[in-house]
Amino acid sequence: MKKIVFILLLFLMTNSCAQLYHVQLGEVISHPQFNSQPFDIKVSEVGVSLEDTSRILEATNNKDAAQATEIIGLFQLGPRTGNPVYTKNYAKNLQKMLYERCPSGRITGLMSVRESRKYPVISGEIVKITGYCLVPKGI
Amino acid sequence: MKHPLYILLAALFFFSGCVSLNSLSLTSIPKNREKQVRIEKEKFIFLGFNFDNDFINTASEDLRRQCPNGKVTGLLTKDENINYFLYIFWKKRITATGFCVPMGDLAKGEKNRRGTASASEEPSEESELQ
Repeated sequence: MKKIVFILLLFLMTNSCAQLYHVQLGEVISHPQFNSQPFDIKVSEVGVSLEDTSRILEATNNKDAAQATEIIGLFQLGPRTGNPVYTKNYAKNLQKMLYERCPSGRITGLMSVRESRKYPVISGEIVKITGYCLVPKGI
Repeated sequence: MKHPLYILLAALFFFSGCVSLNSLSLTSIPKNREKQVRIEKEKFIFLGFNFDNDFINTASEDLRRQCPNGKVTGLLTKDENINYFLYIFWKKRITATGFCVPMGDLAKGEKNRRGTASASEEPSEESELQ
C-alpha cells in the first residue's frame, strides 16, 4: 500500500502542469520553388512561486519565514503570466536566434507561444517560437 | 411544479458555458479576401491536469496545407478558455482565421504597388520572396 502511495506521490510531484498563456500566429507562405524547413526555438527561465514557498514554510511550522515570504510577495504584485523570474533578459536574444536558424530571413509560419510548466515551488517560464525557413529547392 | 424547476436549474448550471479571452492577435488584411482558411485547436482539461500544450504544434502546418502555393494573411488568432463547470471541466481553444492569397495575386499586387505593372507582363511568383 505504501509503495502505491509513494508512486502516486512521485507521479504527482515530478509531473509538471503545463499552462498556456499566449499564442500568436504569423503569415504563412508556401511556394513551389522553396522547401519549408521547420525550426523551433525555446528559451526558458526558472520562476519561483512565493505562495507555494509560504505554504510549505507554514506547514513546517516556520511561521516567521512564511510571513517574510508573504511580505516579499507583496512587492511582486501586478499583472503577469506565470511566476516571477529573476532574470529580466532571458527572452532578449530571440530575434538573433531566429536569424541564426534561418540566415536567409525567409521565415514563414511563425508561431510564438508563451507557456509555463509548473512544479511544486518552481516553474519553467517558457517562450517558444516555431516556424519554417524557406530554402530554394535544389540547395 | 418543483420537478421542472429543478431540471431547469440543473440545465442552466450544466449547460451555461463561460468563455474568457486570453489573447488576440491580427496580421495585415489582404485586398483579395476570396478564400478563407480556418483552424481550430482545442484541448479538454479536467481538474487542471494538463501536462503539455502540444495540441497547438500543428497549427501553422494545418494553415499551410489549406493554402498551397499561396500566402495566408489577415490572420486573427484567438486564445480562449471555455469553462463548462466551475473550472473542473474546461477547454482551451485556439482559433485562427485568415485569407489565402494565391502567389499570382501577391506578385500582381507587389507590381501595382511599385507602379511597374503592365498588361502584357506576367506576374512573377518570386517577387514576394526576394
